[in-house]
Amino acid sequence: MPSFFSNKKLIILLTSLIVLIALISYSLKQGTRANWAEQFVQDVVGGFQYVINVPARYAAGFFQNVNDIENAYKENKRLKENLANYASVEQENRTLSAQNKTLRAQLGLKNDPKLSDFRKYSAMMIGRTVDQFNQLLTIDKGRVNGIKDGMPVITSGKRLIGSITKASSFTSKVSLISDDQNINQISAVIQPKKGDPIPGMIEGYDQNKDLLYFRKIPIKAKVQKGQVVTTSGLSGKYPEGLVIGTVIKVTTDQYGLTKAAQVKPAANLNDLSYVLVLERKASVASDEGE
Amino acid sequence: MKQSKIFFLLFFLFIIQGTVIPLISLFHAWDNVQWVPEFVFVAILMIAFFGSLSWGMRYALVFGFMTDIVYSSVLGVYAFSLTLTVYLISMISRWVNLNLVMTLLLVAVGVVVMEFQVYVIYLMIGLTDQNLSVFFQARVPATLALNALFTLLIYYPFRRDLVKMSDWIKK
Repeated sequence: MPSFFSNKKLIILLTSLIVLIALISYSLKQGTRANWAEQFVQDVVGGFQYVINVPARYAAGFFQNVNDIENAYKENKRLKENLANYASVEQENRTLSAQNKTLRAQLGLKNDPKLSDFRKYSAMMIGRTVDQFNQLLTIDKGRVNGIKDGMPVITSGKRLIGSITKASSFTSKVSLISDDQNINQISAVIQPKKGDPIPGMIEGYDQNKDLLYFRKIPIKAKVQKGQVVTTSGLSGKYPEGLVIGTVIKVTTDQYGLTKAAQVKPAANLNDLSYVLVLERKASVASDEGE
Repeated sequence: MKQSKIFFLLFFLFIIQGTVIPLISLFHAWDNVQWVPEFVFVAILMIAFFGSLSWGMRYALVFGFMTDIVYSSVLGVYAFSLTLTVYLISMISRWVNLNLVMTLLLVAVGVVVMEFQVYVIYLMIGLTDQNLSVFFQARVPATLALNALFTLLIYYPFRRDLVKMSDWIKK
């Protein structure tokens, strides 16, 4: 049988294996920022992506529109029903905000930013990883526009989709919450209709079932299917009140000490186009502890 | 001059993979099917088959690294898998008569081998937790179909141009 590898080629193969392992361990090191070479390639490719993206989006938008017209009637019916509640909810919201304002003034917290305060930058998705292992987006705003590593990224309706991992000058990479590597513990909370808020941690993503793990919930908490999980604002990274998803299954953890739940992400992570990058106004004492 | 034409074609495919394909809503129609376009890889395989292997491997290294930088969070994985697979598959291609069917078959084997390499490396470093059954049921068939279609599209024009070009290099 003729051999695939001569001696010389075997040495090359082994050397490249070593280089591969070195590169992997370099990039897996936590908290590495993109080095200048990476940033350069990302920005150059990003420029071309931007150019191609505009006509492509235009064409895709046309087909999307055709699709939308089909669903418009059904959607309209449903929305009309929801609209009936809107007026009362808005009124209630206004009363509560006014009340909140006066109470904060009385407490002397007037100038401190709230946990839920943020500044937002809008950005367009110009590229996306298609291999499904990596769940990354490229957006058309970078450090020049004020984007920094670690900022949370949301889509319409304050639905959390991920955070910035590598910001280069003109583009940056967003790591979605469905990315296995990024998801390092989001402090989350369920606000039930009655009773105290239920705290917990979002600790990972199951790529086989497309669900988030919501763990470390107190064992006595009454978690139910259909409850909405939001960020708690207690960690340094995410402001309060970003919608993460809805609970679809509740279990206990493997030791039986806390409860665990599976959460379906609120945002459709496959169909993203425009996103908002948030900068948190309130600073938390442990700024680095995520 | 011809070399630069090939480079720009590959670069164009590289950009298309990440910008246009995710916009096509057909690819999100079924949640449990994963279409992965490996157009750059298929084109590089063609270059290795009908052009020259050494140029094919150079392109594989360059575009592998670009995939790593732009479309993934860990460096080196795609560069390694792409280059190794291009080498292995073009070694096999020396033993067979390269017609359309044989090319399709080799490309199919190449795509599966490449995907599997990336999958195993990612699994080892904990970047994915996809099950093996999900990989073979949801990912491989759809990916093969998509890339086979692309191979059919580019087979004749690519073969004609590349054979002409490799003659020109040899002269």
